[in-house]
Amino acid sequence: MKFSFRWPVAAVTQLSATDITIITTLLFVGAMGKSAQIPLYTWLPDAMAGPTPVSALIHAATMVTAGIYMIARSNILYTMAPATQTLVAIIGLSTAIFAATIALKQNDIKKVLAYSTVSQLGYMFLGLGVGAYTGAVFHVMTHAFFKALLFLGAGSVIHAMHHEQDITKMGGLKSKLPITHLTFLLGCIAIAGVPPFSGFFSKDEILMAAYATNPIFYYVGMGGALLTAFYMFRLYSLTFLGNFRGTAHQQEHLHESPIAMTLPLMVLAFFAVVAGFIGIPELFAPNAHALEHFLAPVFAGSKALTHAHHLEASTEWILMGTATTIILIVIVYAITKFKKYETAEPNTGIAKVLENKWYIDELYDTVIVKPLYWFASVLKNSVEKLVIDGAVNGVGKLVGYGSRQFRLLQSGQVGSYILMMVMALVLFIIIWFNDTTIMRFIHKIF
Amino acid sequence: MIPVLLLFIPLVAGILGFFIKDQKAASNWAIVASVITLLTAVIGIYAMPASMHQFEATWLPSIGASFSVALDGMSKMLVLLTAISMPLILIATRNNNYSNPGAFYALMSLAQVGLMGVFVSMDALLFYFFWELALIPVYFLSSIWGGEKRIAVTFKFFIYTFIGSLLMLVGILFVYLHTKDHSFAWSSFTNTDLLSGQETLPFFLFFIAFAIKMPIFPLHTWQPDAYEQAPTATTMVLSGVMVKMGLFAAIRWVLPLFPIATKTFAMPIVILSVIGMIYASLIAIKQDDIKRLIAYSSIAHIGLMAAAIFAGGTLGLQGVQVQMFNHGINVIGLWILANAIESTLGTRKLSELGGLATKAPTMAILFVVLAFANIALPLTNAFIGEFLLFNGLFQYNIWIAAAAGVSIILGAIYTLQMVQKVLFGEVSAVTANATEINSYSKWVLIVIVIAVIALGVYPQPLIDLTKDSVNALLVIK
Repeated sequence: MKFSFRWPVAAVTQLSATDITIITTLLFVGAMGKSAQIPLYTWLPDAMAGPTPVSALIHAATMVTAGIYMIARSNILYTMAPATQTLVAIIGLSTAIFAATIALKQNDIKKVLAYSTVSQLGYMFLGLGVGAYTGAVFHVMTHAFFKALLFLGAGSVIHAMHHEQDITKMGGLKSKLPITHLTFLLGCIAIAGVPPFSGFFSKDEILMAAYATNPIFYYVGMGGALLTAFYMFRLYSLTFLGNFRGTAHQQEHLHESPIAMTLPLMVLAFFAVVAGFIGIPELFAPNAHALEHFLAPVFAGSKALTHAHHLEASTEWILMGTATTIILIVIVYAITKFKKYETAEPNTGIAKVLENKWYIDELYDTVIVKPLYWFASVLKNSVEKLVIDGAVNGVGKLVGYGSRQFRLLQSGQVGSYILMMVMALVLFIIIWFNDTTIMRFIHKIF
Repeated sequence: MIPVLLLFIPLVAGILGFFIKDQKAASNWAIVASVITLLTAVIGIYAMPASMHQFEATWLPSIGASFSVALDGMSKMLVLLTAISMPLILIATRNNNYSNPGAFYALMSLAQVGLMGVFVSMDALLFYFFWELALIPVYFLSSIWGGEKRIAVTFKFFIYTFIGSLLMLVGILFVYLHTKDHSFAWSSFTNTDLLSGQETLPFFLFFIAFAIKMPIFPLHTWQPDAYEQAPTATTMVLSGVMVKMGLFAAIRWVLPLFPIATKTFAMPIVILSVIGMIYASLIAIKQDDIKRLIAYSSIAHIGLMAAAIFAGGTLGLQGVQVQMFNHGINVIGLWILANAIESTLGTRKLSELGGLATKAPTMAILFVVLAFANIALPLTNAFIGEFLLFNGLFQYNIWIAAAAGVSIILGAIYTLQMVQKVLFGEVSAVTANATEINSYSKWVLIVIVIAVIALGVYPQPLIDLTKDSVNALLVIK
């Protein structure tokens, strides 16, 4: 028996299709938890309570992508389990959309980024589900740059705002935090998928593969990309544009962060802008996808099993062009809409549902947490105490009761003792002379 | 000769210990004796030839009982666990004061004699003798130095386990009458003329005794009470070492004696064990008392080992060996923490604690590592053990393994809840004046934590030590 991550093709092909489906599904459930996919995503936004650099490194750039890494590593298994692949694609896509809708109405700067992370992870799973393993890993990489950038940028803003995280109480930070502003803007453009920023290349690769598998995946995924552009520029606009809405004290102390904080922003911004060029699609230049060549050995096994269906160049141009145009329109719309933002109005209807994250936390609490605790206290207070320990103590009491009853035999009356002696003697004789005559005699009597 | 020394040293130390009146002197005496025992065990096991590992003397030749003791892989491991645990326990609780300290420490040493005897006996009557001998000092320790409800609780504990012991005695006689050479020797017991149908009765007579000791659900209710009421040092002996008697005995005196009955009844026993795991874990979630929480957590962990014993298979049985040791030192570590918290803050209630991480950072680090070991996180020793155990269970039945897996999740819930309530959150009125734990407890915990991580990274020594016992079992099956 050996635990190796390079699933040998020879060993894998010995498994039955059902086994592979079960194995891949179970591995995927693990990935769901680690990479915050529906229904196991609620922990990630809550985990953002940690310090911002931790969020940037662990909860955005690296650790949460371990699930994607695992599935990409196991690509041979997934390629052989088309049913699981479809599941992965659907879960990924649903998460991408679902988390994006929640991000639309969050006012905590880190919460927006957290749900954005969940959503982007969804895209990566979509990529894995449609067999675009390179695309998924590519998006892991570009996402790491721009999401780490955005989180650290958020940290810089929070630092400047004296631990204020509510974007409705910010605004107009553009001039006070020029470096943070510029790098944050670059990050927003990258995540929105505007060419030629890095996010464009990786997201495009996933979405094109999705189109090739099933155009519906593409359209839904594209819808999510529009939501992404919208909530990111809502965030940008509320934070950096318009008028300052914080306290006078905060305004007085507004300052750009020290170089130790801005330098990483600049480095990350550089990569957020240019990192996409290691994955130039076939469409622009043949054989220019450096990352694909780099990763080819890892995905060679599954590539041999599938025949990639390529899109017509014209289709790809049309999709890309349309998408980019719409995204730019959304960006302009979001900027203009939230530039003039003044005061928060209470949300109603669907907006309120979104603000409350579709009430999923409450749902889990009602359906899982509370019943579990209820059941546990029933066990603790009733079953354990009354039934099981009750039975044990009951046996003890029964013995005690029996003893008390037997004790009554020792009444101290000589008469009853003599009676008992006689009875015992008779019994003794019966047993001692246990021969047929006596037994027959007894049988005759009764 | 080595096993005899391991019995003899604590026996002499115990008997002489009764005459010491001073607290510190009694404690020192017991610690020195336990360290000498430990050195004897380590040198004896690792540096002495195999011929030194057994000893036989005539005892009651007329009935075929002999004083036969030996060390094989499993008993070496448990002897080491016993020998290591004693000094750790005694040093960590050195600041606890007892009325009549001489008797307290003497009884602790005598309990060690009983434990060592159980693990090295290769004669059924001798085994029974030590099995009872281990119980008696614990009875006195708990009923004299225990908590408020000690009398009732200790009485229940004693009667409960005593009933089990008597059933086992009947079982021993039953098997004895079926041995070919009318002998109590283990080798005769494993080679009887019992027909397959006749195995059932003695199987259960033995099994119930061990199931109470482990304990297996639903025979567990004595345990949380006993752990809660016994003085902490005794609780450590009870849960760190003494519950291993049940697991050990099932492997030594049930599996090879009644292979057919074991196979026949394995499924219900495994299922009961797994139910017990989940049940105990759920109850642990709702515990407010640290001691009871650890007690139920321990029941859950023991349940997994019990399940793996009866599920059989190389990996599972190897896992039991590894995990018996790991569980022993880990749970002692948790009790040391519970003891430290209770003795400095005067409460064991989670609801009254909080914020200790800022007040006692060293303790917090040690606490967290042990908590991780309790959840069996990778890089802790318990991960290796539980991984092997789950492997064994998985090969036996996938669905049972999956159900058992639920208790891992529940384990994370109650353990992290405990960590959260003790170490984090608001500083409460009780914890406002908290300080670091005393240096005795601290250093013992550091030793345990190092062992937790070392055996988590490299568990091979434990596996090598016990391999022969596992292989011997597989031959019998």
